[in-house]
Amino acid sequence: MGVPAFFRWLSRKYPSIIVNCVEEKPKECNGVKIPVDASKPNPNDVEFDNLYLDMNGIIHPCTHPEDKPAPKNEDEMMVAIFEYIDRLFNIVRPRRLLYMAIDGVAPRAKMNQQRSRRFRASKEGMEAAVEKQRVREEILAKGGFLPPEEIKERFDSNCITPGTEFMDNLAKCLRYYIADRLNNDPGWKNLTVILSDASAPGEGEHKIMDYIRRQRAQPNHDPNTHHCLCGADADLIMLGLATHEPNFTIIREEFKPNKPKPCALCNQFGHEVKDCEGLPREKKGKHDELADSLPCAEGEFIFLRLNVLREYLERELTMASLPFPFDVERSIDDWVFMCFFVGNDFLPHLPSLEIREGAIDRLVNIYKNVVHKTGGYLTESGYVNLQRVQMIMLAVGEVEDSIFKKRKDDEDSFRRRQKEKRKRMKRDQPAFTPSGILTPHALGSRNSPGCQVASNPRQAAYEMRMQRNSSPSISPNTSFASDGSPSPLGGIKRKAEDSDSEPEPEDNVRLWEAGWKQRYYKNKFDVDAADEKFRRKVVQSYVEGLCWVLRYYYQGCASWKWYYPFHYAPFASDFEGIADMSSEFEKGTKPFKPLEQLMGVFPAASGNFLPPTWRKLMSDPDSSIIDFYPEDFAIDLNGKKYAWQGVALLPFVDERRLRAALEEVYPDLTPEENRRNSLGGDVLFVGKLHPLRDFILELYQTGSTEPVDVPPELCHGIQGTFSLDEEAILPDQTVCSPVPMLRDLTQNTAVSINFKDPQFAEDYVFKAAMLPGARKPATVLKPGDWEKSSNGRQWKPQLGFNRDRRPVHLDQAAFRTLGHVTPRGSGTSVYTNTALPPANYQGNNYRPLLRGQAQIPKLMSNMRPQDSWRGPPPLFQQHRFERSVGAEPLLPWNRMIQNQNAAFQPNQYQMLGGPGGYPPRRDDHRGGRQGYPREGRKYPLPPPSGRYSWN
Amino acid sequence: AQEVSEYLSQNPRVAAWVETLRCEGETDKHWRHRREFLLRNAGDLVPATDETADAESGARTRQLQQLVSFSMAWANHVFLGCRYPQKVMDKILSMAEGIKVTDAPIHTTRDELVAKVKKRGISSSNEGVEEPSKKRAVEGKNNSSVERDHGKKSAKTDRSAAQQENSSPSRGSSTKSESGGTSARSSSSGSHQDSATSEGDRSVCSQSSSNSSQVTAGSGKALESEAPHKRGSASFVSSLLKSSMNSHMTQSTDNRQQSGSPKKGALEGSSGSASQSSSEIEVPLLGSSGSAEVELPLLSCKSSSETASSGLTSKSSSEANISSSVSKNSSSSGSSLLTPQSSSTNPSLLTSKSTAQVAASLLATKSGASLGSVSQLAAKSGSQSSTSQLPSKSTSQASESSVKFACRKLTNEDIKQKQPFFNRLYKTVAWKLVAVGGFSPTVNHGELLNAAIEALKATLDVFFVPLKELADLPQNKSSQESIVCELRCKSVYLGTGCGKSKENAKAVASREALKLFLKKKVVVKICKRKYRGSEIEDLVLLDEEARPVNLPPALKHPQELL
Repeated sequence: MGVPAFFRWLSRKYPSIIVNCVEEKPKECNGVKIPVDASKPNPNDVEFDNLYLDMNGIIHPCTHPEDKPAPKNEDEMMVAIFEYIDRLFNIVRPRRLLYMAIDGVAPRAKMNQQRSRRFRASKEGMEAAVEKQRVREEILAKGGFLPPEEIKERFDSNCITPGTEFMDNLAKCLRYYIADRLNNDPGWKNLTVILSDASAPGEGEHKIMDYIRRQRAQPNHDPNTHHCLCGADADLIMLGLATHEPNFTIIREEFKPNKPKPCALCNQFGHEVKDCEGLPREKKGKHDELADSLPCAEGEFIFLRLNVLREYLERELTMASLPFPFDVERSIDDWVFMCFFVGNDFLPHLPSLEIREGAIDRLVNIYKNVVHKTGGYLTESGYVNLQRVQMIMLAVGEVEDSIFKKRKDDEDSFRRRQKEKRKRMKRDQPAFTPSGILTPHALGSRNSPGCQVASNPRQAAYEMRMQRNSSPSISPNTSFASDGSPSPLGGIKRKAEDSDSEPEPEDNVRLWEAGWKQRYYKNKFDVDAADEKFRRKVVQSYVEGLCWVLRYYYQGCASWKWYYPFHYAPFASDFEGIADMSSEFEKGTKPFKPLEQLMGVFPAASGNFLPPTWRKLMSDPDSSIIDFYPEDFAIDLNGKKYAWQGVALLPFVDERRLRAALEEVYPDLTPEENRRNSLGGDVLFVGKLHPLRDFILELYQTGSTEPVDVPPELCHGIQGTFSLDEEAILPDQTVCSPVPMLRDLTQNTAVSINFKDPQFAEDYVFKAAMLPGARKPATVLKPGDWEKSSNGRQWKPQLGFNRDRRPVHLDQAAFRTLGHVTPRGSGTSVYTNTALPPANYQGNNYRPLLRGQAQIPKLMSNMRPQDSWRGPPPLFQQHRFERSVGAEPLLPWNRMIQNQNAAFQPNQYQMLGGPGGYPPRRDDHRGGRQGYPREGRKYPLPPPSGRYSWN
Repeated sequence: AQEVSEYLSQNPRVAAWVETLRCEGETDKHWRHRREFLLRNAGDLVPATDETADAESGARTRQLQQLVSFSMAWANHVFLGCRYPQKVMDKILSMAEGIKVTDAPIHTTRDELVAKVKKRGISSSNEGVEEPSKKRAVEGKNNSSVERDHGKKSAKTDRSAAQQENSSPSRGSSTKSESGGTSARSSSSGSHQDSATSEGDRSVCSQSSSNSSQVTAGSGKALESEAPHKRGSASFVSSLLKSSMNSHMTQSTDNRQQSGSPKKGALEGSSGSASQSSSEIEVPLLGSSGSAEVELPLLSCKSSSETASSGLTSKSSSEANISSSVSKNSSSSGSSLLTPQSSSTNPSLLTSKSTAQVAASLLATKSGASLGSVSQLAAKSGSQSSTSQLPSKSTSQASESSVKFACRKLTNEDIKQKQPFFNRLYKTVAWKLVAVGGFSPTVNHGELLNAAIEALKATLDVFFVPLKELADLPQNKSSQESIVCELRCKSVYLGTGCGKSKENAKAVASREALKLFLKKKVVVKICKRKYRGSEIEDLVLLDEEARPVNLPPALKHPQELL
């Protein structure tokens, strides 16, 4: 869902839904990496049955990461993806099923969003490249040094779209990866793996939902399956709720703001491309052997427990004295539905509902007021009761006016505050500084005369008193005179200063003034206020959209063709008379073929992913669909500040015309392209020990062409049909590695086969309710009546999955042991330093004394590393080294570590995973870097201490 | 637009047909304009003859698709703010000529947004002008403000009308007709209506067609052309397009058509071929109208045959062909007549435009083609010119557009030429500034600048244009009533200003220009600027460090001044 704020809002409002992951990192011993044994119990005190990967959330960060240098080529990207999956796998440790879903062709409704993303991405990529080139030339001209430009062409992230060669290749690589792990990884040995690659239509998360929905609807499904879904999209939360499975957890990478990004030119941290100076890289480690290790650890993962969210929601939505029976499940569905008003991928959000302004809370309140009158819930199993929705919308409409007014007030006061702040900052010195004997002096500048203790305190005090009496008239003036001296071109300078109070984008709509509705329609839709018919049409489309989206979440794609044909939403108050609007959708619609969809979402600049004659349609002036491919397009900031936040006014694709135009070029496809263009299905893999394996092998031996039902008893109740796969992975056949870095699998035991979800009649309605036999997980939240029922016991909040988890605890003796075992200065020093401001560090003699105390809190925090980024900007070891280099004794140790590191160095593959061995926290580095911009680099980086102390 | 709806009400089939091309979610307004676009250009689509119809039906649907695509592209450009590759832009703008769009929305494109952010190092001369090129009025905008019906005074109407005339040849010849996008159809065209049907026209047409006979062998037969057809076509034309010229064209093409279908084929093939008769200039417009007359503007050749003779249909097709072919004759003949009227110095290039008078140019071409056309014509022209209020100003602008593509590219030579002068000017200005005590708001910047330039025996060129007529105008201007002023010297751009009055605008512009001289050095550079919706190169005076990211749009085409 295109609502980044949604997750933030949710996790603030319902903090207990978040549980930090406990991740076991691979250990290293004498330079040999010992992989994590995922068959061991899960360190998170919970066992998951199924893990679903929404692969696009993995592919994007692995192919064009924001916080580390981009992989050099496609092979490295693949390896990065494999390792990311490994990491996830080791955290979640699914016991029954791993389902990987790559985004396939999406419904038409999503196309405009995809278009706008890709059109922008293409332009941004181009601009970044130009900027890079410019700076590069500048630097080289100045004699700076830059690593030679790689030969590889710019990675166009647009290739992560179904139908491209990249995606095809990715699917191949994943097949290899699965086979490899099934053969070699003990954690995978009993696992069923399903891969739904980009050729299977549907967005990744919705393919997953479809799978779950269909499994739930068949009798063999285990209602207490514990699902874990990986992905960062906010709509996964909705989807998870929509399944009504009692045990559903989402895992995602924790978002940390302000991660340092490496410069795209020289790959060093600490500056951006435009500030790159081409300075030589400082050596990492004494002989630069640490150069390839990333200066920051990877992001941490968090679990999002939907069952806890359900508890919260139950509490929030429970209403007394309803005229109809209260049902948590139904009211959760309504809640999900209302969240769609605030934003989703398929519809623009209502102008009055901003998640940052507490729109959901407002909706819930309105909902609770109105639901008494509605006579029932808004939705049922994904179908909307429009009459009731209308009541909600009109209730929102009533307050719309005041919302807009308030928004304006808030903005104004924010701007005022900002302005004042800027003014303060500009003055460059505090409004008041004490003078006389109280004049502040820099520490250490002992010899300066002002620092002397007043020889005659009484006299000094008197002088100060006198001064204060006279100063009000003088001192402000003088202070201003000092920095505000008029320059010869004073007039111009003044102007320049004013201009930094940036001109706000002009807002013609002025929602806070009377007549906003007319202006909105005029400005956004270019229709007159009187055009009732048009407004009605917009509302009709929006209502259809709401119905479509809800259906999409609860029942699957109702129509592949439907889309919302406007760039903006109507007002809530326009939702009059919607009760009788039809919400039926055309049946039997077909998704686009992958290449067709590429034509629909790519700008002409990304045409290189398409066959030449197809590409020509995007740029040829005589093309009959040239209007789909503008070179530049308008962006309506719509009250936002940055171009990427605005609404891209791109034309909508006319499916009929697109298909008509493509008909002519279809014959130009090569067989290979034809294959890429075809819609595929899911593939199921099992390893040697899986009970299904023999069944599948039997199928291959008989060579039956008919689809065969999956025997659910062999496979934890999974149902569906098998059909033979022509490119199957079969035992004793070598699985060729598509990545040159990795070896072929010669001793393969895994087997793959085509898998199809169980099918249901077209008008089958998937019930949105708990299944019979499902046990609710134990409650996590503090009961509302705890004070009464607890007999004075104190409530202990639950932090992890397990209420009885034993907190980690180190006693005195343990610390003593640690102090002995850990090498001096390696792990511990990091933390001692962080606890101390540098000024305290005047002498070495401090250290031994402090270690014992400062260590403890920080050690504890290491047990919950997730907290650490909030901590004070820790001081970096570099600083410490400054001292310790002088203090010779540490040097031998220093050298030893480095040598050892040098030993692993050649092993590229390990080093990529290596950051795991470098856990302490990126912030240590960053803090150090900030505090010591340049000086710090003169000293070699310390060894990755965590490897020794904590793993 | 009104004619269109009238026409459609009379032709329900066409109406029904065209309605199928409407998009989901298209507003009435957008659709009205796009429909006009479609109908205007639909004529090109009608197949050549009945025999070939089947074979061509595929091509026809393709052409239709293309037309729809162009119409969408145009609508996207005007209403959504999209920009397409230059070729496409030229094409759609020329196709859209004559369509009057009132108050199209204003958008900021992404590139402009990004440029705005990146800017900051912008040349000082532009800071004060509120970064005009940032926001861009869709081209249709000019015209929009120019609606004659509303009695607004408009310098542009005529220009646009003139362009409309010219556009057809330029389109055919695939030169870019810059033409500022769209042109408001002047109300004067209404007067054509009568004339279209008049006998005189007919005769003219036939004659013209005979002139054009270089290509079409038997065009002489054209005379036979059935009066009824002509009538029909004429009336349609007038209702839809209201261009007397067009009717002539139909006429002539009719004739040609009949003259020989083989020729036809040749014509079709030679879309780019020149050497059509003079009168063809208008053909394209006509083409559409002619076909429309048959009542199914686009597509159905069958129906056309029903209503009229096969000759008709074939006619229309030939028209289409013709439309795409250039007419050298016409231009030359036209120009020869026109040159006296036009002040422009580039007679070779369709100077007819420069007169900017629809009527005049019409007349001119006509008379040129059909030597000594009937007195009726003359009378007509008289009436036209009288009806159309054509401010003389427009001439210059119109001519620019035609002129510009003929001109050479700016080179470093130009810069070298200009630079020494500005070095001297820099010193002069510096001394003058010293004399008045430095740069300050109280100085009369205009006077100072003028004095400095005159001291060097050059002149300061000042151009004014009402703000609202400026394509790419700075929309953040609250007032639409302002005047924009552009200063040039030796055809090098110095600055732009905007104000309530001319003096005001000039003062602002001079202030901006003077600011250039406050830095260490001034340099002449070739920069891209917007000019009526497209990018052009211009010589610009900048201070040393400035990066010319965002210049205000030009008021004059620089080439014209060289």
